[in-house]
Amino acid sequence: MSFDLPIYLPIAEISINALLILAMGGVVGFLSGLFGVGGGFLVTPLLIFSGVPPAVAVASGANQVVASSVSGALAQWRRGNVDVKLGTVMLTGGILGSSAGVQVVRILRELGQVELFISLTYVTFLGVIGALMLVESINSILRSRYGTPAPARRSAQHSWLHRLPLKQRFHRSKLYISAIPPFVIGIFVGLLSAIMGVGGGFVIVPAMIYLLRVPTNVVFGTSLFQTIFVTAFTTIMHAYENQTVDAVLACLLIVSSVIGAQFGVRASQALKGEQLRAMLAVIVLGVAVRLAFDLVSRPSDMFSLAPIEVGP
Amino acid sequence: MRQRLPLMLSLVTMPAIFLASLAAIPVTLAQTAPAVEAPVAAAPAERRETIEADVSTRTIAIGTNFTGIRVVIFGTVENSRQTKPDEGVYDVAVVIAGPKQSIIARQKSNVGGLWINTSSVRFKDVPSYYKVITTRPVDRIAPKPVLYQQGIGFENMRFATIDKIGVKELEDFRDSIVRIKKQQNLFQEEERGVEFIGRSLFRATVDLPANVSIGDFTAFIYLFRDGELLSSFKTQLGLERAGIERSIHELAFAMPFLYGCLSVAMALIAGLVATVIFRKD
Repeated sequence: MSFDLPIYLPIAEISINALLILAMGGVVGFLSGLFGVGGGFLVTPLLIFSGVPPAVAVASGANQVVASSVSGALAQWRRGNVDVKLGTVMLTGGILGSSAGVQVVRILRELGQVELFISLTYVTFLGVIGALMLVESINSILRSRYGTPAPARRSAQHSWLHRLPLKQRFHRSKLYISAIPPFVIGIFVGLLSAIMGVGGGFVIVPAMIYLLRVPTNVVFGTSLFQTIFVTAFTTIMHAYENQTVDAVLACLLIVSSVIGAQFGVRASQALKGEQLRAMLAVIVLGVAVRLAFDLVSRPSDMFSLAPIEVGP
Repeated sequence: MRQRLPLMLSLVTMPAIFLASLAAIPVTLAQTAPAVEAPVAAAPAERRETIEADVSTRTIAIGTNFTGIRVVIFGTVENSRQTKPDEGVYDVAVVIAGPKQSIIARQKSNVGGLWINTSSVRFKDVPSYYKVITTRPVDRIAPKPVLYQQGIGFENMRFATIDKIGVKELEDFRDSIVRIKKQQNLFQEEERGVEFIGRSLFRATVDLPANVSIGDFTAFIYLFRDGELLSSFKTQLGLERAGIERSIHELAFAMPFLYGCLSVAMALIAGLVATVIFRKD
């Protein structure tokens, strides 16, 4: 029995084992359903590691995240866990941020530092967020185990957030806050989305939990909801500007990830919120450590090649 | 004739006898026909050898099932002086080059604990694929200037730089291109890959890997004797996209916005369908 099913990718221009891609999509889909994140931060590095050119990995990964977020968001929608109003405010900012991020990437690409910048961004954000989430979730697991009462939610810590203008009522999230913080978070996530080729769920989920104090059950559905739009926008931008979306690669990832996502959503019902957050934190930290290791360890070859466009 | 007779007798199989007798025909004709210009024995020495060749597949279709392809390059030495295939009178070098690209080579160095790209050189007209197949190690075929003139072998490839750069540095970057391309199987050297299968007939096989660039490839075939370039021949082969692979690629480049929207639509539908299917059970 052979575990090799080679398929030639029309845009990436490489032959790859289709079964490997299907397996990757399935695992990423499962995790995205489980944690309510798009899974872009996993799929992009995995694709690059499999030999897909980074630009194609970023763009096709974004396309796959569209599918797994739709699948996940619909499942959450049926449980009434999507705050459309809050999601819309964030995705408006997200699309603005994404447009700006594409320009940042273009400038860095010309400087030859785009890979370094992407790696540093990944390490910084995944590292900080992963560590914070891990500490927080372990604390809440310990608290629930020893029966210590949790500190009151919506403490006075972020009172300055409540003094901002443009206050809106977000019914589903049971919040009455200014529209500015979610909008700014949206811009920031959009920026990261374009630079890192991810939906930004791993940034938006903790931001909603810890900054906006959105109830955990609404966080995942709303994050997925906004991820659909931001990644759909990113995919079209990449297809239009760089022609780097590989439909065959995306199709393989999509088919397996939407199935995986359904199982992931089911598995998430069996687990508590803080357990899910602890697991996500461990995975996020793992990716950060791996990327940090690559930055500081001596490369096997000091040189690298990249194709360039040269005018006549 | 007298020399060939024992050889002919020693051959048992019918095709071999047929081939050998074919080879003998010109000599027979020369002997029966009245000699016009020169004595028979001296005649071959006057004629300069030339080479002709072709590839087994001129157009290679690349579909979604493409995993690389084997191409056979075969040719013949006109006026061959060899009496048997393994006599080694001639050296043949086959150089296959893929479409040319401009590339940037970057060098990392350690800055405050991080490995960062610190210098770079841009090169133009670097072949995306390059394979040299020879009868013997490249450096034994001909003197360096001859090989360099024709660009035969990794050592003798010339890369034009876009940026001005010092000699030593250029060498490092140049070596890096060859080294990295070799690791990717895009630069290959095969000593003794060209095989004579007759007095004048030779062949060589090239396995193009799945990661080759699509476009026009050229194959140069060079004929050497005693380090002297006698003749060369150029032929071409093309790699083309085919089938659905071609349609997808054309759409992506001709109508990128529509292609992007379709990609997103595919993702949306897949997500919806999966939800509907899983809702039932």
